[in-house]
Amino acid sequence: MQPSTSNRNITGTVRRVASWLVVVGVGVGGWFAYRSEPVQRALGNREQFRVEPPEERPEYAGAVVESIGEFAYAAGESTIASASVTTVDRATQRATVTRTNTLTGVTIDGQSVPITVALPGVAAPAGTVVPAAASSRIVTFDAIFRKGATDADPWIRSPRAPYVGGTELDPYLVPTIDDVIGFELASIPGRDPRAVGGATGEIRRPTAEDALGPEAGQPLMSLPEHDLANVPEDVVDLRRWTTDDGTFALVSPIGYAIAGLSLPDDTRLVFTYGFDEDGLLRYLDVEIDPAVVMASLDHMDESMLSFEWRVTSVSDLGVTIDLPTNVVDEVPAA
Amino acid sequence: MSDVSDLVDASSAPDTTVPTFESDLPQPALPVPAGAAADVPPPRLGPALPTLPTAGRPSRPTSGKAAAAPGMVSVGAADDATTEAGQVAEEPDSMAAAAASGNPHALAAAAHFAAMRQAASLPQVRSVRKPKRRSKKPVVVPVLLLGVLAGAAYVGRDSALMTRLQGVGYDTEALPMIVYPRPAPAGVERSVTEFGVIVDAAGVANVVEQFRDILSVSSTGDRSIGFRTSRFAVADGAATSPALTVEEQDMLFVGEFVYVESEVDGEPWQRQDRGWPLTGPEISDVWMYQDLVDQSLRHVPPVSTVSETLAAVEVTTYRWEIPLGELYESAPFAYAPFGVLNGNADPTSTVTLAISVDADGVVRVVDIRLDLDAVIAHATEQDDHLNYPFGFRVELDSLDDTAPTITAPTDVASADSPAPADPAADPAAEGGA
Repeated sequence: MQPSTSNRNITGTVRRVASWLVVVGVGVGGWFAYRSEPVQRALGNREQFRVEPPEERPEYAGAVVESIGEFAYAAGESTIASASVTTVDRATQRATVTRTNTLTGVTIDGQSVPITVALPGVAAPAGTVVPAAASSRIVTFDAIFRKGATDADPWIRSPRAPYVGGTELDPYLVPTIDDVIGFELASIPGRDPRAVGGATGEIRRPTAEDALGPEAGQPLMSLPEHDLANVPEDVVDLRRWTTDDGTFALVSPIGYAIAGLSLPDDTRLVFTYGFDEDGLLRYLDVEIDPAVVMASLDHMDESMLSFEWRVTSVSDLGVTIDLPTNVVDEVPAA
Repeated sequence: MSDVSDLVDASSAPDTTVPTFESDLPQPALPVPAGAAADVPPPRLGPALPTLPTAGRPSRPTSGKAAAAPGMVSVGAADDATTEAGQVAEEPDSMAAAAASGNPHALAAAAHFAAMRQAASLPQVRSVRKPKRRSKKPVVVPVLLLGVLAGAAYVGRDSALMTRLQGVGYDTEALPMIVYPRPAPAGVERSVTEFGVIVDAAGVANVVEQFRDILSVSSTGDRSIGFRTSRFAVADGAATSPALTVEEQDMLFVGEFVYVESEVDGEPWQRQDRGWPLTGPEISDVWMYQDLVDQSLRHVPPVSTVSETLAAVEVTTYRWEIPLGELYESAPFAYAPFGVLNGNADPTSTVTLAISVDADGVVRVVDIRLDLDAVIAHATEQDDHLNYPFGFRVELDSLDDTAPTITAPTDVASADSPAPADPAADPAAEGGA
């Protein structure tokens, strides 16, 4: 017996409704599945709530740190490289600091004359700046030993506050990658300057021109390619960014403090970090826009041109630092 | 085993039961339109009909046998033929009536319907699937596939995808790792308060509160700073009100100059050259979430997380308690601007750090404090009567869409002394033991 027309219509309607319910159910189920935690995790949408197991901070018993700061001076249009070598032994909480200042370039009669002058005692051309003499000191937890004017002179011992933070004895003298790279810097991949065509990661601060579109804003500064020959061999991760002084201070305050910059907020600069396989910061380089530096000399007597800081070695065995024997105590000033 | 096609008996084809009418049909007396004759061939009846094409197969020439393709079998042919015999028997009558009418169209229609009935009476052909041979491949292949997948999962168990699927490191309570976009306000109002303690030669401790009320103009770099330095006595580990002394002084940074209010009422302002004129916003005027919360601090669970309203702004306040000696490792980004606190108390003493963040990631309040008693003990031990900072509070009062105006004073006396550093750029600039 054939079903009546009305029965066939009802059956067809039920089938269509059931089909639609299945489709809707699959859609709703898929939506909830998509929103579920496992799927969102697999898609990588929960990484911001992910806390990686804390890595153990790399330890070292001794380190040798070299830094070179290049300064431009208004008087004489000369530049001075101030270099220091710091050797630290953490076990004994002793450090030696040797600083030398070198006149690296002088402009005479409009001509750039690259000269290196052994200082002090060498007559510099008129109008140039004579930097301070080289100095050496040994720092301990509660005293500072300063080398005399000559090798024959005794060392001068002065008491110091038993304080290590921010000094050569700071246990965090060599920071780690997590100390210097925060969320923002990590979100802007730095370019390896050793790579072919390696430009720099650009960090741009918001300006009033941002309303005009993403193309507005300050252009990238143009700097000569820095010599990377001083990058320690242990560096396996080298990154470079372009930004300004104020942004550098915010996105990487620990690195900024190492460089010891004191510049207007909007000074353009390029900074480079190099890390070893343990994640220790082994190389820091800051190149400041020369045009800004020269312009700032209208207001200041000196201004930093560049800063290079590198940890040439870290040791698990420490470094032997002997205290001088020919010592006299400092006479307090009246 | 014989093929099922062998079972098909050609004798079951309907050619023995279905009558052939073609020879019985009279030829049309009237001509059929040329177009119709070309497009619709005259129906063929009789033996030509059983060779209906099966679906998906080209029709085969008729041979008087059922189209018994391999794998196909005719079922119920005899029954169908017998059942339809009565209907078939009626065909000559209708055909005869059509022929008698003399209408070629009626005749063609009758022939067509007869053919259709004839087709319906033909034995139906149903498909029968050949039973599949069972081989070992269907078992081996999935096992191998699963093995490969398991091996790949094991080898890549530490990969990003696998660790995600395993749920390694996810903590819904952890502070999010978010980089908020920085705002570009036309003006910023904020305050920075530094708390320090001085222990004099007699061992009496005073709290020194240095308050700076700062208004910054982003477009010009102009700013005004109102200084208020208050000194409080200490009792029961806290400063007591009212203040013992209060000193106030204003400073304006306008254009190329710095104007410093005289300490003597009625005296003109001192004007000095500005160290460097600012041409843009002071980026450190506004701290963002990512400027203080870093990967290390995310590992330190806050002692409290509170949603509250500060100055009509909904904020989330995170509070941590961290030993001073571990502050650098635990929160290097928060340590950096307040590093002057380091060493001012026993390393085991507790630092309380509170950060209030609004929905846009703007840090509205930062409050960091050392234990005052621990700092007093340290300052007493040093016996140098210096100001030892033990806390900072930075509050963002407002972000303005319109640039505020800062006007240089008119009662000015220029001075040749060097310009002081802008202390607003670094809240810890004036601190330090």
